[in-house]
Amino acid sequence: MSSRSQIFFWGSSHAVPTTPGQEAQSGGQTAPAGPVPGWKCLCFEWLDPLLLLLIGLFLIDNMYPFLWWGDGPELLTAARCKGVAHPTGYPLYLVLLDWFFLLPFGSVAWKGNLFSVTSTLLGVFFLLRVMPVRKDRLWIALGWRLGILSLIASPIFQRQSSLAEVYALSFLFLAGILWRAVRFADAGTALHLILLAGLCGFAVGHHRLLGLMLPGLGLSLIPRLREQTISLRMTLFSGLVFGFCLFLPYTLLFMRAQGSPPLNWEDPSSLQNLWRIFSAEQFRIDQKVQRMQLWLAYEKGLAGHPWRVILAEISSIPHLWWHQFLLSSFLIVPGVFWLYQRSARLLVSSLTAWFLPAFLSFNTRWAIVNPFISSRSAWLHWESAWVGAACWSVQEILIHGSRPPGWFWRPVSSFPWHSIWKSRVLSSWKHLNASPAGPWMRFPPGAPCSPFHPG
Amino acid sequence: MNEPQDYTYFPLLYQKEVAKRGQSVKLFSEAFLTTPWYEKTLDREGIPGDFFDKMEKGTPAIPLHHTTLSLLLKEDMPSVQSKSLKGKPLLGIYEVNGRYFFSNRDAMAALIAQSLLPGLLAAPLYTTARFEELRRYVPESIVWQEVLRLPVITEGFSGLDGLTVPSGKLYRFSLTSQPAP
Repeated sequence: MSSRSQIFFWGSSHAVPTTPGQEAQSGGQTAPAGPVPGWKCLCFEWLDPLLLLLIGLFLIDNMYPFLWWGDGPELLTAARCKGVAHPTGYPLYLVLLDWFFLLPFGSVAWKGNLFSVTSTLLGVFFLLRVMPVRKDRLWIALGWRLGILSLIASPIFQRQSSLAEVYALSFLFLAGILWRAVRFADAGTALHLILLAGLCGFAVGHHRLLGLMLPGLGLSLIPRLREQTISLRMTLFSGLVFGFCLFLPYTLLFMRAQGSPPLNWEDPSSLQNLWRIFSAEQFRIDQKVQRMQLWLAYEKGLAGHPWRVILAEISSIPHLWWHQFLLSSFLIVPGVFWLYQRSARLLVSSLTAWFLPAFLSFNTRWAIVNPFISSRSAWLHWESAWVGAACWSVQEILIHGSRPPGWFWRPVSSFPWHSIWKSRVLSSWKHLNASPAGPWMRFPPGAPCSPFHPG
Repeated sequence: MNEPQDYTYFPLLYQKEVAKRGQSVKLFSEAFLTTPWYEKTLDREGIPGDFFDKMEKGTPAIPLHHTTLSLLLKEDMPSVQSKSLKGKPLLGIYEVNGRYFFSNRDAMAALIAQSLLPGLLAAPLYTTARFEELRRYVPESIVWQEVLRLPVITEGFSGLDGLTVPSGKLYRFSLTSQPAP
């Protein structure tokens, strides 16, 4: 038998050298350590380029030609005029968008929309790299691609990829992190860890919601850190790199604000205001005002108990939220038992990766005054985190079991079908548009004009 | 219902600064008048006035109250609304943790008429929405002439949670010599 390991990562084209003891731990079962000899099925060599081409054409065809309401005009203006966008400022997005404006063709709005298309396409590229087509996992890899196609076909991905918004870049970061994490777990060098830490820092600095993937990511990488003897000093240095990349883009906002740039919501010319933008103080105050208004309406007899209102709001869109919740639960249940048998740590990792986005989705759904924006972002991250959670779960199983039992593949193979169903469910997005908001969602006539709810 | 002005300013800024049109005019959006940074924006637009000084100190007609967010929502706001409903609006400004709240749009309009209007009238002025509450506090007749609607796509935006689609309109603001009816 080759000295190369049968321990195997998805997306890895390299095997990991192991000690003889590890072979015994894995039960002596083997898995191929590279392209299978004789694997001449050229028809799959052009599959990924073809998919990227088709997805790119599809996204460009769906791209908005000009401005769309919402944050897009503000972000375009802030990028073009070197200003400051609404909290959390999105400095990295503004810089990248400004560079993208160097393209010699198209209007600023068109190029901003094209930037989202490009980000999504690159994100898909990295997701494809996470799980390349191989003979020994052909159907899983094909299912993975089918799932990606379904994800792209879902309305929320189409919307966010067709206009100037920050979420396509978030998706790119998330996919890139997954890919780099697989590479780190594969190669296990300190350089890979530092690159991964820097990427995570930039990602969370771009959008705080991406921090939801860090617990699951960290827990999943702990075994790798121990096995690959990354020194504590190097781990701490990676943490520093993470923090540096997290805050670095915000120095740009601070420097810009010393002049007279177009601003929105806050002037980050002082460190205190910069922290307000970074920590999204505006949204936390929004939540506080929302909670107070709920209780005020209850005390005056204008609405039911806040908890009843919250439950009514959640249950008013069961076709979106509860389907997603139940489907994700069904998917995770078999894996949970299997993971618990293998490792309680992996169980915690998977549950964390699954639970935190779900929790935040419900929280932001009822807590933020302008809920359609928050629910939109929460949806996107929930979707992305779900892909990430599935990826990690499957990956861990491949690490710790060379040939998982057949029953476990059911949830894995259900991924594409789950996604197809989900895209069908999400295609009823208009139902959400038509759902009447509760009276607590609107400010009563004559409410004070505040910095948070002008007019 | 008032037009949701808060989404309107940046598309206009986009048109003004990116498309390089209308650079000589002044652009004004009252939706941001309580935000701390808008003073800088007005400076950039070339609109002088002591609006923010008065907002932070209050005036005899529009007194300043220091309060908490909880008290504002539970006690002051209902009383302001109930008294305002009887006819004459109750004008006031509330300071909450360094942020300023107007008791209603009338209070904002009164302060604009006192401290911003002379500066506003010094140059061609375009507003992002009609601010009807101003009529009560301006002796002349106000004319809002709709001059532009931005070609902004609203598909998929309307109807969400009952929010109103932004108008995308731009109004030329002017005063006539005729007294207000």
